Amino acid sequence: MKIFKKTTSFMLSLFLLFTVFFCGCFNKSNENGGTEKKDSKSETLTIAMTAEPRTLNVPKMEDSTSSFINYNVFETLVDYDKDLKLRPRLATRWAVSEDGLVYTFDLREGVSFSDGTSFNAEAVKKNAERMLANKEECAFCEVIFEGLKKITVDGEHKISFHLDKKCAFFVKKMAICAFSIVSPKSFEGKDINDTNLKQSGTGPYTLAQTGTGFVKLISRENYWGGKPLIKTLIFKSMPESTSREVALKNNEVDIIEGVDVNSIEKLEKEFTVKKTVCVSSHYIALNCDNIENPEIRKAIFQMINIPEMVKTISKGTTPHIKQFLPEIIIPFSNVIKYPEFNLENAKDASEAIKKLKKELKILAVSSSGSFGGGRVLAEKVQAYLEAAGIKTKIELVDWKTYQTKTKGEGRDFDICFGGWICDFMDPHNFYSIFSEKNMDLNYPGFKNAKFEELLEKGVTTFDENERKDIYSNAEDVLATECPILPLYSAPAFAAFSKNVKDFVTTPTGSCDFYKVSKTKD
Amino acid sequence: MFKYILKRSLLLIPVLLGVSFAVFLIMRVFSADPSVGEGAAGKYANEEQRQAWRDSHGLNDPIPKQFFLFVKGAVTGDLGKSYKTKLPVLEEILARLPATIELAIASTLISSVLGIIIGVISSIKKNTIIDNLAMIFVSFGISIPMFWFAIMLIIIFSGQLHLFPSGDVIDQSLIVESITGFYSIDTLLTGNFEAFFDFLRHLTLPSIALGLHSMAVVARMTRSSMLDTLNQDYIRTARAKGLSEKKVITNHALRNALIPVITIIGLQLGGLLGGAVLTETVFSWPGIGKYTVESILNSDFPVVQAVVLFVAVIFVITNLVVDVLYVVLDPRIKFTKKGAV
Repeated sequence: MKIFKKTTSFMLSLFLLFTVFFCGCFNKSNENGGTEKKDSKSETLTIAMTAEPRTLNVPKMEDSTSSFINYNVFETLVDYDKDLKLRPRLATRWAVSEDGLVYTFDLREGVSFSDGTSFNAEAVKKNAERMLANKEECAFCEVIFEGLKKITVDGEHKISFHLDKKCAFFVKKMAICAFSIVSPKSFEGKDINDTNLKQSGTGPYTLAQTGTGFVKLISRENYWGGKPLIKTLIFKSMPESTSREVALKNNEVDIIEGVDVNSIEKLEKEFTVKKTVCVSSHYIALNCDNIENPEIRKAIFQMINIPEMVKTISKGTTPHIKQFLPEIIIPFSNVIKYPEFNLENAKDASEAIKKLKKELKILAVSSSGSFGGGRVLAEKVQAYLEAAGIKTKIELVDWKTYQTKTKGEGRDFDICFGGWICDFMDPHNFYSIFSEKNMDLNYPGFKNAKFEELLEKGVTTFDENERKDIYSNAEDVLATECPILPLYSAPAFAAFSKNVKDFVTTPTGSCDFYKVSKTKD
Repeated sequence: MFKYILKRSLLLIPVLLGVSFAVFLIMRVFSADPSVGEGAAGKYANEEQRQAWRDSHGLNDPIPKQFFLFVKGAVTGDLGKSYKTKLPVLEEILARLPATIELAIASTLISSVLGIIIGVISSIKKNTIIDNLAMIFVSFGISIPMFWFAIMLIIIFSGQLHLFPSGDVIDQSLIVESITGFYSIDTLLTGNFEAFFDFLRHLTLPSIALGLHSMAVVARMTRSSMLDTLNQDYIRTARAKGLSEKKVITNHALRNALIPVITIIGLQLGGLLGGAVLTETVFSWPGIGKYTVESILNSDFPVVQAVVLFVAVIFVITNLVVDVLYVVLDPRIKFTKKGAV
């Protein structure tokens, strides 16, 4: 009996020791083993995020959480101000050659990476070459460098990108986070998927520690823009909204993102709640292969009361949008008119709809999103259509399946919902998702020769007024042909303690934390 | 006994192969195409690029070939790379495993201790008000949705009473040197007691939320097992010998009554080590449960396969340990040449 007890105890101890050893061998979460045991509370800013960053490996970044964090560690050549106008960042000036094929950037002097090496044109070139050599790993590579012929270093702080065709928005693409500049010393001779990469940037913060569910950044004393006011930034993932709100109330975190619209009123009593209208557009799409006649598509849209629907689902926090391109980029809603709610007109067409399809299939994502997600939208649209006498069926699927069912030839829906958050602030990035050359992002499967022609013209036209006309016409095609109907620009609500000062998120969703400060309680 | 352990260990092979193949097949037949969307071939990828991505990840190969390559890799310790993060899956699982183990052990301790105490008291106070109250509490524990209970714990004990933090594993402003990856062990090894107690504070609410259901099951099982044992002849004999009621309960009744309870506790622990999805999500606990669900939704095949394999191994080992514990608790049970009797 005693032998059994001893054996069991021995086995258990061995199992425990083995587990501890095994996990210990693989655990790399901490790179900071100093004698200091705690960051000072007043010098630490903790931000609760809704998700974990997918990757902090700069050229491979695709998601907004990764960009939000990395924006403070790595910098792009150019950036946008609050009015979405281009502003210098690592490039101080830029020029386009007369033929529109060469884009030259003057780079900021006296800038260093956090590993001590100097920032220069060679570093920019090496970053571009790294992306180009790993095209299949970097989702934005082809978007950024489409038509690139060569890169020339014209001086220590001067670089030129030579294209084989004009691109009116090439400079704007230099603001895409995935082309933030990393110290070549960090990646030279290493595989892009190397898990031991310790990347250094030129930004105000440097990566201090990463672990499951959190990322810690430490300020840099010698940042070219001045020393950040907050010493430590902690980004932690808290997917549940109640937990985030309680954490804010308990002073465990200073800022929470992804505030639920139902909690805004309650939180406003104690905290500052800030709304940022992201440069994005959400829309209803009709499958143009199934509903070919634009008049029928128009009639379907006339059955839905968009202003009322958006007001209801957003609890009055967000207005509906009158054009697909966000007005902050170019406003032309005074000249473009999408179909408006008109049940009488629509009813005349209902027989034609019934003849075409006995039942319309509404495809939506089951998981939550802005304003309760696709399910809420689908149910609202269903209610409007049923009230107009059109039978519908809702199919709720997960996000991956949704993407499969809305792509290319396999599109399996009559009505679905889409949203687009731009990658760079140019109308082309919005309208190109409805191009027939881009059938994987073109949910409605829209094909229109005039629209394609306008898109082509927009790429090579540099004059801003001419471009405005081109895209106004493109929006008009969408409004007339009715493949989509704009809904809203999704707002992002963040709440933060009253002692946090100058927390401003830009419409691109980034935040310069080096300008943020925190007063003592 | 060693032969028995060896035999049981060998049984692991067909069990793990069977489980892996079932998951392998289900993921490939019913899951969405992993090449679609962000994190795989990229959101701008066209059909041709997605096809190339599928080719490079072997997803266009026949399923038996894919399975063979997976098993070959698993045997050599290579479980593949996550489609989403591109990091080795083993590394990702092991980074999350300590948090899951710590939570599972804490909640099992809470549920076992409380469950056994409630079950024993309930059985010796059978049909009294105490027994009735205990059983109402137990029914509450079994029937209450864990997700709702977890949120209530946060709202009351964190939001209102400010006794415990609302989530996460530790206050991240505390600097903890990582040696083993287990916060409890690392904080003690480095003498960082502030971090240790902070970790315990973070551990309390998720452990209670996760342990409530198990506690209720253990309490019910202990009560019924104790009632059964207390009616046995040898208990009557023990009482007739003049032993005190305390000795009868602890030395004679409880020890025998605990045998089925141990099985339940072992199975619960095995289940918890596989990750507690809802609790981990609500409390932002960085364990493997939350990670697995995210991976299923992302059709991240290598992660799902690896996690299932991992959980199956843990489950089988836990069962083996439970079987061995039987011998310790019940001297009548012996391992014979044919196995356990």
